[in-house]
Amino acid sequence: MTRLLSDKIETIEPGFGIEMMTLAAAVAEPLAAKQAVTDLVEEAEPDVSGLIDLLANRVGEQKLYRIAPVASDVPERSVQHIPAMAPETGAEWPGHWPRPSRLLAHPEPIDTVALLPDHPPVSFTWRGMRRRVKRADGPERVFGEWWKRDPELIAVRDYFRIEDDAGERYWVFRAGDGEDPLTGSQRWFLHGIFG
Amino acid sequence: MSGSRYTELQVTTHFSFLRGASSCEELFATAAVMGVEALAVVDRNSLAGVVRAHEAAKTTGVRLVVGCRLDLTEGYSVLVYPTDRPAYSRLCRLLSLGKKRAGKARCELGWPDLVAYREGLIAVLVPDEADEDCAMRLRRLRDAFGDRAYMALTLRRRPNDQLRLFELANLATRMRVAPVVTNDVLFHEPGHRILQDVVTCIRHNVTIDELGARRERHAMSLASPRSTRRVMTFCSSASSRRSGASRPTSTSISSTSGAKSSCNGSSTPTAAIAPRCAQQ
Repeated sequence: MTRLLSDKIETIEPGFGIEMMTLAAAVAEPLAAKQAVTDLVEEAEPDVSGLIDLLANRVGEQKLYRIAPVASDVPERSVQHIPAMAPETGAEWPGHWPRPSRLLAHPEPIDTVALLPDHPPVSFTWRGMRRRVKRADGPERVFGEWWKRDPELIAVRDYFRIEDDAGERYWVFRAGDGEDPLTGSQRWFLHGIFG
Repeated sequence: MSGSRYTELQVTTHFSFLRGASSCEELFATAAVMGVEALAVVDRNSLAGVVRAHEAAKTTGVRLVVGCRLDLTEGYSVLVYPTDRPAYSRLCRLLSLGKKRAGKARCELGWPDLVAYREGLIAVLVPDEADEDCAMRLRRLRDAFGDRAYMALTLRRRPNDQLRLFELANLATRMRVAPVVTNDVLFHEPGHRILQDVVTCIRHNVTIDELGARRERHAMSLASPRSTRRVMTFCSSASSRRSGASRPTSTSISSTSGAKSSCNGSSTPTAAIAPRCAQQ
C-alpha cells in the first residue's frame, strides 16, 4: 500500500503545502487468513496481482494487457487485448492449422508472378528482394465477416503458405478468388512470417 | 474443357432445418444456368425436400437424384441414394424407424440399421481425415455395399487440403472404394452466405459475434462444372507433385456421373412415391 502511494507522491504538486490528507476506500473487503499451500507437493501459484498493481500504477492501466485469441477467420481480428488480470476467455484457435508466428500489422503488397486462379505464386518481390517459391500449400479461403462491414459480404482472400529458396516460409494471400473482380482486387499481399 | 459434365452429389436444401439456406427452386435454377447436369438433394435424415426438388427438376430440366444424408450415431455421415423404387421405400422405412426412436424433429440411426436396410442403396461416405477410423469405416462400407460403396472427396479450402485429399484418395483405392467428387453445397449463390451464417447462429443459439469457429467455413455455393473440374485437377496435380505419385482425380469426377446413372429410380418414380413419404 505504501509502495503504491509513494510511487505517485513525486508527481503531486504541493503548492503552498498540504494541510490534511484523507484516504478513502471505495470498496473494502475483509482480509482473512488463507492457507497458501494445500498440498506438500503442489507448487503455490505465484501471485502477480501486486506486481500488476505496481506496473499499472506506473504506466497506466490501458497500457497493461494480455493477448487472447478470438475465434475469427480474419487473421487481423483473431487477437484481442484483455486486462492483465482478466480470466481466460475460453476462445481458441483451431490448433492444427499452421499460423505464422509473426503477423504483420498491415499486409504488405508484393509483386508476384502467379497463375490465376488456383496457383500459388512462382516468385514474389517483397521489400525489394525477389524470392523464388519452392514449395507452397493452399489455397486456404477466408471469407469476409459481413456483419462487420458491408463490402466484406463477398470479399474473399486465398491464403498460401510458401517457402522460398532459402527455406524461409511466408504467409501470403491474394485479395479475391482469382476469378470474380467483385471479390477483391486480385492483388497479392504478404501477411506473416513463419518462424 | 467447356464440355465437362458434372453432377453435384451433395446438395443440402433448406429442408435440412437450420442447415441449408436455399430452396430447391433456387438451387435447380442456378444449376441450369451453370450447366450442371444433375443435382442430388441430400437433406439431413430427411426426404422432405424431394417433392419440391422433383417439381424444380421438371421445370428446369436439371435431373434430380434422390438421396439422403444419414447422420449416424457413430458420429459420421453417409450419403445414400436409392437406385430403384423398392430401395426408396426401404429408405423411407429406415428414416421412419430412426424418427420413431428419437422423437420429434430428431433421428437416431446407427450403422447396423443402415446395413439392415442397405439393399438397393448407393452409399457415399463423408470422411474427415484419412485416419484409422476412416479406414475402418471404409472397410465396413465396402463389406456392406460392395461396388455400391463410394467415398466423397470435398475440397474444403483449408490448410493441407491437397494432402488430405491425396491421402483420402489413396486410402479409398487401398480399400477398393471408388472416390467421387462432391462440393457440399449449402446455398445456391455466394450472396446467400448471410442467410447461411444466420441459420447457423440460430442453430447454435448464439449471436453472430459469438459464432466464431462454428461458422460453416467451407460452406459452398453451387459451382459450375468447369470450375469444379479445374479446382480438382489442380489439387490432384499439386498433391502428386508433392509425393511423386499420380492420382487422377478426373476419374473421380467421371465416376460421379457413373454413380448418378446407376440411380435409375430417381426422377420419374419419385412423383408416385413422394406424396406418401411426405406424410412421415
